[in-house]
Amino acid sequence: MSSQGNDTSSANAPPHDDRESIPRLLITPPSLTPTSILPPSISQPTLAVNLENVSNGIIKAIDYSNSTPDQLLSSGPKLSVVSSESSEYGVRSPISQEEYENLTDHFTDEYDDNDNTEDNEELQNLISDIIRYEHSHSINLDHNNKLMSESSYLDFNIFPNHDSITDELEYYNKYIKLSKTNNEEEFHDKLKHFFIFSMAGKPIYSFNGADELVMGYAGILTTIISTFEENINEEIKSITVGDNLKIVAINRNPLVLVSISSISYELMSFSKNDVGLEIPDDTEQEIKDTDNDHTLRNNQDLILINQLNTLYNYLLSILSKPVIEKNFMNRMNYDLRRILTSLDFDNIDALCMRLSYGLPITEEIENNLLDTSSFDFFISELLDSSIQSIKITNTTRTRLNKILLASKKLKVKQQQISSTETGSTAGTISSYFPSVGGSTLVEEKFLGDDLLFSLLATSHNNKILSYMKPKNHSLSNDDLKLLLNVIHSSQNSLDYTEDLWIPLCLPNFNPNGFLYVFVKQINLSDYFKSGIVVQPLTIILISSNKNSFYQMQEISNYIIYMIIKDEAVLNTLAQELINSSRLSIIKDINVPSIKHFIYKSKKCNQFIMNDLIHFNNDRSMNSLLQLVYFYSVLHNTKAVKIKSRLKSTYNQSTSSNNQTSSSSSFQNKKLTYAKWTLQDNSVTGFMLADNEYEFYCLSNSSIKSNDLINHSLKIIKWCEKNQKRLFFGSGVVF
Amino acid sequence: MSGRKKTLLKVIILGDSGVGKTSLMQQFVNSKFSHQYKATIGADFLTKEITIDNNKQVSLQIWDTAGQERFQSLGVAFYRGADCCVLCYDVTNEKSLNNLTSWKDEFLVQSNVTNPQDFPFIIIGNKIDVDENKKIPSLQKKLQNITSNQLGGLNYPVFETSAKEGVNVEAAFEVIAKMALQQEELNDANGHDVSDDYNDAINIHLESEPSNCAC
Repeated sequence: MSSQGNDTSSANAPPHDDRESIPRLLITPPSLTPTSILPPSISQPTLAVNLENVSNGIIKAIDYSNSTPDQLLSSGPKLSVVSSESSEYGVRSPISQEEYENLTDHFTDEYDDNDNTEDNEELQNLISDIIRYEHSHSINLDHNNKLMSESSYLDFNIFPNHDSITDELEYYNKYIKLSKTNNEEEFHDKLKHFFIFSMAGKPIYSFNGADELVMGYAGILTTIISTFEENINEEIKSITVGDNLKIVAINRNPLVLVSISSISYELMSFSKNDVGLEIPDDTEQEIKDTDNDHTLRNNQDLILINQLNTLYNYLLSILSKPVIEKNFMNRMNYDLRRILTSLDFDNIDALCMRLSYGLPITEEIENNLLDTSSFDFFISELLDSSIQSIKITNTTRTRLNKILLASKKLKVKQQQISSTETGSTAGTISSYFPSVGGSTLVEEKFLGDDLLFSLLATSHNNKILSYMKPKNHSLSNDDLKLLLNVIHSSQNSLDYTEDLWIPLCLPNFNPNGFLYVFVKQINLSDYFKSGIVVQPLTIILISSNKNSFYQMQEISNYIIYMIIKDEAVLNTLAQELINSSRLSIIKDINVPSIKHFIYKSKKCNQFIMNDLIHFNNDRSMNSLLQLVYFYSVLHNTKAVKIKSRLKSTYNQSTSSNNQTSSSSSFQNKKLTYAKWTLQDNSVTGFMLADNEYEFYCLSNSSIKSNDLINHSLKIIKWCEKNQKRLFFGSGVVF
Repeated sequence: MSGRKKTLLKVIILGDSGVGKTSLMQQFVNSKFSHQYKATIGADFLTKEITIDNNKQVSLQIWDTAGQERFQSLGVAFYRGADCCVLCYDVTNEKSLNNLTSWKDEFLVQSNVTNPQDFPFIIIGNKIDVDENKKIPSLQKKLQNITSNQLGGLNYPVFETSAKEGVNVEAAFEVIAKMALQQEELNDANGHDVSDDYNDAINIHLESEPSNCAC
């Protein structure tokens, strides 16, 4: 493939040089109407397709007029690794009656095989057109048997690389790693900057650079932003410098947050790259796009704005809105750093790194088995604050939900509260009696009167097992993400004796006050004599009363007791946790050749993905950065809408309400296909979405198009069947 | 990370064009002086850390503004949240001395400070290195008039400096820092205590009490 050669002649951006490019100001009124980005004509629907070979920025359009399906486009042999592994794990364990019932719950007419085949065919045709086009324009890639692990993130032109550094670590140290020194050159090398300062221009936080360095920039940026507002009466949103640099600001008076980025996947603006594509006989296609996030995603600054909002929410979560405002009231010269601690600055550093690169802040970045919670966070942010769950059987989840529910209804005699405060766990458990059995004693009191939300999550990667909420309140995904992030950063991962009590403001729930979060870890391994190693769990109890620490502690003791008391139950839970801690496509879904996938259920805004070790056989910085890039492109590229056979059926039947529900899942079906081609290696990315789900996957490019589609559909089907196991849904309600 | 406990002070330098605001700042921050005059466009930002009273670390964020009329529209952003304001004049330019009052007024209008009578200002007369005969005739008397006699006058500490020779510059900025710090401490003492706010409890109304659904 001549992708490298094409680089020079292609529409690639000119070398990064701020002085040569004319800064463009993008001014949008505060109301944020992305009018300029809407397609020129609403009445003429077009399918936009983006078939970019992203590594060199070439955009290709498909000519549909004389295409015929070509199912075997890539004639290269499948990777031997894949086929051998697939036979090894080919046999699935038989399912129990219980599991079977869970599965059949989800079988509805719309998923029957017949539908699927036709659906499949349609996709086949579409994608093979895309692929056939690619091949006619590229040199044969058949000898492609190289492992992906041999490619470097630097090969994909994700980041500007003017001095052509080939060493991954060297590049990281120079351009990515955060540095707080007073060295101006080092500061300017960094690809990403975050600033938080007051409206007076006093710096509060900077991702890079020492105070002395940052103070001037804070002044300049404040001046630009507020001059703009005063004189033109518009809120400045972003400044684009050439194609390679963007400055985005949000004004959260009295605070201003600014991000500066020259990371390719954060600057993506598909409105520029899109090629309009007319599909024949498509005259009556419905173009009313009710898909909310689609219109939002049209806003090309959204990625950076979301990041800034996440940082702002962090500040709110530890300070709350009134505290920030009152400190600045009548004295705009206030220095907010006075009420922030060094832990807060460390947390914001970690957040910035997660938001930008999905990488942890660690000195051991060369480690090949990095902690992936930062990557999890990145994907969650990318998928509109989707929350990651862990796969357990519905039976187990229901059992855990019941425990949380029972703990809410715990009663104790009033005087017992004080007497058990100092008692040991084992001694007090016998004194509990859930209220279910009837309540005649007048001294009795609900232990969990102030308990609002309970969560059970895995400790290391904060995947949620079980969730309890009140009838008329719930936590937004943003709040949940924030909560888990704060807990993650304050937990001492090995200490199972400590009880944390954290006052926390959850901005979407209520930005004006605090909730009180009790956190305790349980090391399940402690309860096995056989030395089974199970990942620890975290109990999170959220109370509205700051004086309820001891009650929450009691409740957590009860929850632990309920989890461990029945050996069989404990064994099942442990086994399920072990099995699902590293989800594998080959082993769990029995699908070879797709290396990594993400499935997001739109209904509950939760997602699941397989262990990323299957992508490159490691969890290295190199693999993480590649995945971050591939998924960002797949997610942010405008997808091709599929004119489904069922779409017309749907249109005809919209008047009759009976039909709409059964075909609803075929609305807004769209796909994106992307291929990153290197000289000796390439990666295929595929996204498929409709109203129910978003599915993303990555594979080696030697995959045949029909395999890509078949395997993707198989994974999707597996996820649909296992909905109740994969997602905790909306939780249990008291 | 060590910078956290340092006090950060925003200092605004105002005065007519050409009185030497940028030179003062350059002399203070970088101990440099340039004979060439280059008008400041908009504003310039410099940072300097000093230690006062032997142990207090202070970071001065100095906002050097343009004295020229056409840049005065830069407005609120410059003045907002300032901790101290330095009013500069040129000892050889009587007009710059007379304009001090209007600079002060401009500042108070734009910055919207809560207690204008307590806000820390200082006055710097620059270019004392020039020949005596070039200076404003009977300067001290005129200065006196401005600082004390006028209604709502500029009764603030006055420093005579030479940015060119570095005379008195450091001393002036040290006083600036001290005054701003004092003001800051006064503000803190004046009951800006927000610790109570951390107790803001949220009133949660649960539709159904748990006792009702235990059936």
